[in-house]
Amino acid sequence: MQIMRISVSMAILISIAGCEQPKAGGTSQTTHGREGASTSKNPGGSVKLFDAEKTYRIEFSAEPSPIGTSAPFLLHVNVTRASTGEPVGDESSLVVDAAMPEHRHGMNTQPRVSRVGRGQFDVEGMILHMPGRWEIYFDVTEGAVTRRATLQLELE
Amino acid sequence: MIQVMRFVRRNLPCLVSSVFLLIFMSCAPRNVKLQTIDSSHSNNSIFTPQEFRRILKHASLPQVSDPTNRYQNSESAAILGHRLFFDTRLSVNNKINCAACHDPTKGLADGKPIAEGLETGRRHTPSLWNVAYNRWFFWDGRADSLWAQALHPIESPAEMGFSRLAAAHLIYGDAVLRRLYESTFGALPTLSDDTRFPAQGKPASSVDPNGNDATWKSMNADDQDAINRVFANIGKSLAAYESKLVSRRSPFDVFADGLATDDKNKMAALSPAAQRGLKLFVGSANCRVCHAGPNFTDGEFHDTRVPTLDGGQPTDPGRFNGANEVIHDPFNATGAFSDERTGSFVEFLVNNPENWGRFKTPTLRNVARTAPYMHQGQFATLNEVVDYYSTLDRALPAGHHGETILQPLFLSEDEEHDLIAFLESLTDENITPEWLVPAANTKLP
Repeated sequence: MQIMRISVSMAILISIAGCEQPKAGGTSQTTHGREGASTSKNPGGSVKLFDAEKTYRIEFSAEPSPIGTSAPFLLHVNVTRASTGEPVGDESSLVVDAAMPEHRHGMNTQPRVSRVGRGQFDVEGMILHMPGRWEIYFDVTEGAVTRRATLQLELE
Repeated sequence: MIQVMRFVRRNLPCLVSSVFLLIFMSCAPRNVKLQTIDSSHSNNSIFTPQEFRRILKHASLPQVSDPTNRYQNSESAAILGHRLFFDTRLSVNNKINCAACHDPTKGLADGKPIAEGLETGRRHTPSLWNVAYNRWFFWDGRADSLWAQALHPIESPAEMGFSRLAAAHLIYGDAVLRRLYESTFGALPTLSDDTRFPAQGKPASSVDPNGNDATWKSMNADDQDAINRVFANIGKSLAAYESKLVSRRSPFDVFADGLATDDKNKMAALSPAAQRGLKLFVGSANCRVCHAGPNFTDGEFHDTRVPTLDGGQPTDPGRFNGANEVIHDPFNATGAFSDERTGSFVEFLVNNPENWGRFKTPTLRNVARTAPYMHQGQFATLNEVVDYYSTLDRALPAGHHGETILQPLFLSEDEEHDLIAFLESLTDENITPEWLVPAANTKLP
């Protein structure tokens, strides 16, 4: 019965997520789902996700990886246009935050995003202080329009 | 047809899972590995694979590490800190030392609901067991390192009522303390010049807004800085000592070792009742959500909605004030006296109104030795604590924007007993005995 429960949860998890094959020799995974929310077990390596309209592709890796409960980490984020693969320009901005929707609280820190290249950002000050389901939000703004990509993350 | 419907209803979960499994199998990359139960652990305990993984998250307490205190692992700093910890001369009336509230015979706490120093405080004295693993210090996190924390009680009028100038003079005038200090931190300032260094004085601060400001202000900036440096080093030596107060080999830890290695002898360290309690802890009772990791705390702040000690409305802002204080503390990790000024938590700390009334999750290590419990010592026994979380009886109303973590657990009497048996298994006070008594009673230098 326990095996069946695990199979169910794994199956739901993967069926919500996309089914793109990882690149040969790499550890990347691509996920996208409802309203831009993507579901992942605690990801190691590089993770790709999209906003709901698939305007942007967000690719990030965490350091250290995988993300640990109550352990500070950095994010290295690349933001590109989903249609062309071109990095977003310097007129764009990125805000990153995280929350536990079921607990109705977020992180106790305010992450700092630094632009380190064209479409490339480093994020400091991230810490997911409790086990459970977190959402990490990537808000990309160009002009007056902000689009959000969300990663759902289960921390043990 | 009816039989078919009964079969479907009875086996719906399995059918659903089969459908999902087929969806999954059809699109899963070939190198995705299905999670399997480790057969070596499948028959040796009452725990599911998920519980097994969760239990091991509580094992293997790491070594203490505070980059802001380069003396944390210095033996001479710890020896100086040990002497200062038990030294009543560090108080204005020569009667109060750190051990007055953090008594080694009382779980490094005081056994009282509310702390008592020169005056009666407003919160319960937290235990110092495993204090060095904290991210924030005090119930409200108004300090962000153990060495910065140690400075507060020395100057607090409600606790020891001393001053940083007087503390520096104490070390300067005591041959043993001075030797230990200077062999660790280098030469003290020329404190014999009392025109530059008055006998006592401290700046006004959050600890003492009415501090001896006139005396302090009479000093030049370089001399103030020199005294602040000595004061910070006093904190760092106390922190080096307190970093020795580590509980890491409780019956639970032995059991977790056994669970990881399938060693039934080690697993016998936990009674069946404690094992059932552990299963609740990492499972349906959800204790692990806040009491996470090897030190059984997430290190952060929550509103447990616990009724106040006097039964009135809560008036203590808790983390809401603590967050503001630590951001402005000159001895915080970003300040001039920190040995690593970047990358600290306080650099990214954000305060918000939801922090009002939140208090830090305490460690559960040695919890059976540190009654009473909660931030005002509201509960005299572990039984009362577990009973509260089971029923949330008399719980204060949840804030409109507050967390929604707390739900009554509705534990049976047997389950409460099991949970307490597990909490009692987190007991280990076995450290080098000399650290737990005054230096005069030991062979320590």
